[in-house]
Order: sequence, then C-alpha cells, then structure tokens
Amino acid sequence: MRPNTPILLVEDDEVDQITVQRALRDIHVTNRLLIAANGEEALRMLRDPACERPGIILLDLNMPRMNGAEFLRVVKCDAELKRIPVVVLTSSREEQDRIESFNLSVAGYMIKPVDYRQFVEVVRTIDLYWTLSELP
Amino acid sequence: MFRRQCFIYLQLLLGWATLVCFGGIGQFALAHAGPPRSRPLDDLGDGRPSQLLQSLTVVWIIPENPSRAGRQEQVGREEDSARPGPAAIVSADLRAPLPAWLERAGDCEPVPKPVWERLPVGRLLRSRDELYVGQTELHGLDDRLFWWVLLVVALAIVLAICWNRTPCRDSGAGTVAPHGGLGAERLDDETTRETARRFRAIFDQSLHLTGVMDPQGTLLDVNSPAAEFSGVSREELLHKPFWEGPWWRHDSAARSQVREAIARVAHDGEPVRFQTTHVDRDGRLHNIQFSLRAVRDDIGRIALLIAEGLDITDLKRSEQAAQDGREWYRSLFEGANDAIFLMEEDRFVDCNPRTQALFGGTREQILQLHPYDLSPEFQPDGRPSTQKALEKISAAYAGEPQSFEWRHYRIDGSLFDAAVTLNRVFLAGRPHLVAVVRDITGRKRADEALRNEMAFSQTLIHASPAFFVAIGADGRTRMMNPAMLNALGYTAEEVVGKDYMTTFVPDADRGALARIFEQLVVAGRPTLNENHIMTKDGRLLLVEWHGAPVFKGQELDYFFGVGIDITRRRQAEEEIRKLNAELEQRVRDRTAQLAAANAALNEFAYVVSHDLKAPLRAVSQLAQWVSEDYASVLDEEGKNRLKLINGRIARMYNLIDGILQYSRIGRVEEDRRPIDLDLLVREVIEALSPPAHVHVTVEGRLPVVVADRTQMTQVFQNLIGNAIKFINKPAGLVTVACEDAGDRWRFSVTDNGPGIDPKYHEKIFGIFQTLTPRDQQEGTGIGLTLVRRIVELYSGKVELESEVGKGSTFTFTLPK
Repeated sequence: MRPNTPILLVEDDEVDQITVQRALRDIHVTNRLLIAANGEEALRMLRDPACERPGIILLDLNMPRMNGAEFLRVVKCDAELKRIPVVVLTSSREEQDRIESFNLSVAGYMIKPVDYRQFVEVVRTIDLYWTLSELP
Repeated sequence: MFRRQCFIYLQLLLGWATLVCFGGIGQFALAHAGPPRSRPLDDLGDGRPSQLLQSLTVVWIIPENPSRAGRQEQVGREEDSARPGPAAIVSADLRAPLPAWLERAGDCEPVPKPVWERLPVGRLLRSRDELYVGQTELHGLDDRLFWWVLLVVALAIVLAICWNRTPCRDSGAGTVAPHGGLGAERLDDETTRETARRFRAIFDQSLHLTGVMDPQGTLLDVNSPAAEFSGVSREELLHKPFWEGPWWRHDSAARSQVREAIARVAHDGEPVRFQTTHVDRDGRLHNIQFSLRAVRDDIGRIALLIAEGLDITDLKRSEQAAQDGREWYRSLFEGANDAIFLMEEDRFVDCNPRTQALFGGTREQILQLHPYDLSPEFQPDGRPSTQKALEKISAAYAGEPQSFEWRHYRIDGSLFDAAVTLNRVFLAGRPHLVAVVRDITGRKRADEALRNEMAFSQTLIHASPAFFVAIGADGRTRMMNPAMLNALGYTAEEVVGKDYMTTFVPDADRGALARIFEQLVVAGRPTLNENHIMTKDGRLLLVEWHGAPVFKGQELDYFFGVGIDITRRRQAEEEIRKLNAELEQRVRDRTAQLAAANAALNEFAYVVSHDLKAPLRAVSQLAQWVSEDYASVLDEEGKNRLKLINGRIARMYNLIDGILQYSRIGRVEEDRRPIDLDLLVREVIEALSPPAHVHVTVEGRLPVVVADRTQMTQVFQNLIGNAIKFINKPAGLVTVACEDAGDRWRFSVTDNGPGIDPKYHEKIFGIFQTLTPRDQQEGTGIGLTLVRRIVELYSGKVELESEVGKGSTFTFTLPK
C-alpha cells in the first residue's frame, strides 16, 4: 500500500465497512481509511480542502442518495478527481453494472464474496494492484 | 200522230239495242217528239220560252261500274268485263212535273234530281236537233238504282214494242213498208218526211258502221261512219255487193265469211254475229264485232238485211291489257308468300298455293272449312275467336280494311301466329273479302325473345340491390330503380324529370361529378367514381358508381349509372381503421407497460441481488468473525453451529443467484450473432478446470451457430459442469459431440457418471430440483432448468438418455 495516502471507502453498509476495515487490518494495511456512507458524502469529502485526498476509492454501487454510478459520472468529469483509481466493490453480478462501471473508467470490478476469507483475498488483490500499478 | 210516235220509239229502240249490244260508256241519247205545244220551256232553263216541247225521250246506256270491273280483274275472275251495260229508256212528258215524267217509266223511285238536271235538254233545244248523243257520268247511281233502271229499261222496251205493234195491227194498213228502210219509203206528208229526216240523223249519228242491203247483199245504204271509215263516198259504195265493199278488201276469207252469212240470214232470218276485221281508208286493220240481221216486211218476208260493225280494236287492246293484268295478278296470287283467301260472306271460295303450305292441307280441304275452323277457341287476348272474327269480317264488309294479328290453327291442329288483312272487293257485283294471312311466328318468337330479354333486364334492374339511374343528356333524371328510390326516400314520380345534379348531389360533389360526365362523353367508356347523393331527408349516402354514356347515333342520349351504397362499408372501414389505430396505441401502451414491467423486474433483480445478498453476507461475515474473534471462548459445538450458519447462508446466496440467472433469460435482450462453438466450448472447459481424473473431450470440430454468447456459455457450462461434478469414477470421461440433423445441429454431452434413473428424467429439469442433498453436493438445481429454457428459446429440445450405472447423455439441438 502506498504510504500515507488514505483509502476512501464509499459504502453504506456498516458490516461491509467493518469487513473492509478488518480485511485491511488483517493484511496489515495501515493507510488511513476514510469512509463515506454514499456518493454525496464522498464527493463532499473529496472536495473538502481540509480533507486529505485519497489514493484509491473503493466504491459500492448500490447506495442511498447518490449511488456508485452517479458518483462515478461526477468524479470522472471532474479534472481534479478523475485520475484517482476507483475499484468497484459490489455484490451485484449484473452484466449491466459491470459494463456501465467500466464505461465510467473504473480500475477494477470486484464482487464481494460471502465468505470473509475470500473477502480478505479480494482486498489483498486490490492492495496488490494498487501497490504494483503505476499511477499518474 | 200516234203511229209517228211509235215509229220514233222503234227507231230509238233499234239504235239503243245496238248500243246495248256494243255500246260505249255512259252514252245517252235525247230526242224530242211531237209538234210544238203551248207549254213554255222556261222551266227547263234554256231562256227561249218560244220553244215548246211536248215530250222527251231519254235513253241511258249505263255501263257496268268500271271500278267494279277492275276489282274483278284483280282477283282474276273470268268474266267479260267489256260487256256493255244495259240501256235505260225513259220517256218524259214535258207538260208534267218531274215525278210524272218518271212515273211513265214504271213504278220506281225518282231519278235523282242532279242527274236530271245534268241532261243537256237546253242544248238539244237550242240546236234544234232532233237527236242528241252525248256522254255524261252518272255517279249518283248506286247499285239499287242501277237495278231498277234496268227494270225501267225492260218495261220501256216492252211498252215501246206494244205501242208500235198494236196500232200497226189495228190500223190494218198493209202498205206500210218496213220501218228500217230509210230513203226507200215514200212518205206522203210533211210529218213523214220530217220523221225520215230524223231517222237519217240517228242513222248517221250512230257510232256503228251500219249498212242496209237487200236479201241478195246489194248495199242499199250506209251510214256516214261506215263511209268515212272506208274513205269512199256513199254513192260509190251503194248498189254493189256488200262483201265487195272496201272494208273487206284485205281478206278474201272475211269476204267469203260475210257472203255466206248474208246468204244464211237472207234464208232463215236468224241474226248472226261474229268477229272479223276491217281495213280503214288508211289501210289499218280494225277488229270488228260484226252483226247481220234480217228485217221482215208486214207479211213476214225478209225485206232487208242490216249489217252493223262495231270497232272493237280498242276493246281488244284493253282486253289484252286486262288479260295481262289478270296474268300479273294471278302470278301474284299464286306466288305470294302469304296465304290469300277469297271469302264470300263467311265462307272461303278460293285460296292460293301458299295457303296450302301454311295451313298444311289441300285446297279442297281448306275450302271446305269455315274460317272459324282455323282458329282456336280463344285468341291470345282472351276473346272468343268467333266473336272477334265476326267483328273484323263485318267491319271489312262495311268497307273498312282490317289489319290485325290472329292465332290460327293448322289443319293438323298446331297453332301459329299470323298477321291478317281483310279487304272488301266486289266480284260479280257481290261483296267478297280478300284475306291475306302472313305467318309471323318467327317475328313473334323474335319479339318474345326481345320481350324476355327486356323483362330480364327490367327484373334485374328492379330486383337489384344496386342503384340504377339514367340521366338524360339534358341532366334530367330519366329513371331510377326501386333500390335507389328506397334509399333516397323518393317515389319514381318525384324524381323523373328532376335535374339530377341539383336535386340529388350535394354542392361539394357537383364539380367532380360534372367532370366525370365530361370524361364519360369524351372517353365513351364506363368509368368508376365515388360521390355522395342526398336523400329526401337530407342524409348523405356515399355511392360507388360505374357510369357509362349511351349514345343515340353520334349524340349522347343519356348516362347510365350503376351504384353501390358504400356508406356503411366506408363507415366500417373507418371503424376498422380507428380500431386498428386504437389497437396499435394499445400495443404501444402495453409494450411500454411491459418495458416498464421489465425495468421494474430488472430493478427487482438488482434489489434481490444486492439487498437480499448484502444482509446474508453480513450475517455470514459476522458469524465468521465471532468464530474467529471468540475462538478461545467457543467450544467445538459453538464453532460448528457458526459454520452451519455460514453453509446455509452460502446456499441461500446461490439460490438467489440462480433465480437471478433464470429470470435474466428472455428478460435481457439477446444478442444473436455467429459464434464458433468449438472455441466457446473449449473456453468453457477451461473455465470449469475439471479435476485431473476427469477427461473432457470434444469430438471433431463443433460448428458455428448464430446465438447469444452468454446463453450458449450457460448451456455448455451447466451440462459439462454437471457431468464433471457428478462423476464418481476414478477415470471420468466427458464427451462433447455434434452431428448434422438436417436443418439443425444435434449436440450431445455424454459422461460415464452414475447415470440417472429414468423416473427422474423429467424431474431434473424442474427448477431447484436436485437429486442429492444440498449439503452433500453443491448445486442450486437451477442449471438444467436454465439449459432447457435456453434451448427452447432456439426451438430445440433437451433430451436425456441415461440408466443408473451406465452414464448419461444429454442431447439438444440448435438451428443451423
């Protein structure tokens, strides 16, 4: 994990928030985890100068107020934000969601496994990707 | 005095007798007799009252009615039409009034006054001639008068003879010479000389060539016509044998004939008559009716012979003409194509050959019949034939020519229709009817055929539900059939003669219709158009018309239109159009609803996939954390139960996924395109990554099909996946194959697994049906259901061939 760059998790489900926190802890990722409960909150945080800008965004799709796709449309039009890699972390296996997400230039599309162990593996893969991938 | 009068009568009688025998037409003679008396003649209108007349004798030679003779010829009656008519001799006492004059002639009706007035009495008196011969036409004489004039003649002759003889005999004077010997007798007193002079006049005025000879044939006297005829003077002719006269010079046979005749008459006193020829002074030959008779003296000896010749050359000629005419009419009669009957009263007296052909019998058969025998009891008009025939015959006899149609029987009883004319003719003075019968069966048949055709057309027009209308060239309605009248609500009387355009066509359609009429006249062909017509109560009917112009010669006579009321049809079409539009709208609405429903379903699926799975996942993870974080606190049983929770959650997770997959088929739009199944199947096998003890092979090369990639993947994934999953042998073998099945491909996936009992073959395709406990074998029971659903989308069918212990073969087809 890249040092000192916070991770932004946009997730409304509290258990999922804990799952991600726990999985990061389990694989010893120490970066600060920012959590927004929906797209609007996430945008607010991203545009708040006082708030540190995250190095990666883990995005759930199905959220109240502003869902993942809506959030993506805003972010990918924002010159300041569009280069932040976004990995979709969702329970939806819908083809439509995948296509739409990649159309909105996500960096990855991960399905949340039921089993926690598998979930940890998913988070590990993301970490690996984020660590190895060259970023602007 | 009396004797003189008698003598005059006799002389007149002789002359008239000649006229009777050979006389001309319409001749009459007038003579007056007796010394002047005291009665003035101013009532005779001559304006010379000094002339007094005692008595007047009138002789009429009345010819046969020429017109009647003509008609006789027409039907070829063999009669001598040139026969002179009878003479009438009437004496009148001028001192008596007119009726008295007539009474002397006998008991008879008066001569019509006009006839009397036409007699040129005045002229006779003025000329002071004692004899006048002239001609007049006595039109006024009808048949009845004619007969009693004849009677009068007879009476007059009898009276004259009686008067002549009685005084002669009574006087007993034997010295009286024969009266005919003019110039041979010496008359001692003035009266006698005067008489002789008068008779000389009569003698010379005769139309006949007359000569007097002694019994030896020596010519004693000839009258002026005879002398003039010969061109030789009287003096030269006299005192020579008659047969040596110039009249006979051309023909010795004639000479000897007349010589013999003279000898015979001189011998036995019987008159002779024969036809001979004379030559006139110019050498022309004349036909002569010659007679020779003897005149006896008082003691009965033959004293004189009187020869008379009548020039009948013209008569001969007219006879020939008459003969020709008869031939002509006879040939008409014989050769006519119409049956011609001659009827007298109501009997047939003659018929022509055509009659025999037409009625089918011999002339004799037909003539025996009564006209009614040739008619049925009733005529086609229902009237009895006898009654109707009697009417017609009576009218014809009354002089009105009849022409009518008649139904006839033939002799064999068959019927035919005829046109009959009846005309009256007089034959031998009796009225007859000429009936001309023409067979008109053919014409009748043609008429009937025409009538039938007319009736057919009429029926067609009257019974047809279509509209028929005839519009004159002047735009006026000539005819409308009942269907159209009913539709419009008019009666025929109301429409005939009305201007069609303004009465029946609404304003809006008039211009177009006028153009149609113009086109009809120019093109001269039927055309098709639609226009509205107005009913009496103002409704509009839409009519489809087939119009045609009808020409009389070059001129337009009328337009004929046949129309069909398409108001309802058009309304129905309109309704159908509306309904269709409605229906389309409904389909659009429904499609939109379906789309909305689909969207809702998608939304639902999304909700299910996320909102149902999210809590499950949360429960699962929480349970896992509990077992990890509190591992030191939990005993084995506690840990085991937490594991069970996770197992059930995983199953539910899979069920939800299965439902989503199943519902996605047909809900998500298919994307059919050519897919190389060979490639796809290999990818599937690779993705399935079968365990080492299972060998999956593809036989040959799989074909390219047009299909949805996801669906094909699901089919092969499930079938091959199932085969791998259930293999219970150390060396598993799964074979994928394809064969050509006509217009489709048949695919098969065969394994050497445990096999499936046939009783479950149907059940395994049901949703969520599994044959093993869920916890033993991972599976939702959705796979085969999906396979069948997809294959059925491609009109195929999934079949299973399997026995327990012998493996299974799933087959399905896809279109080529």
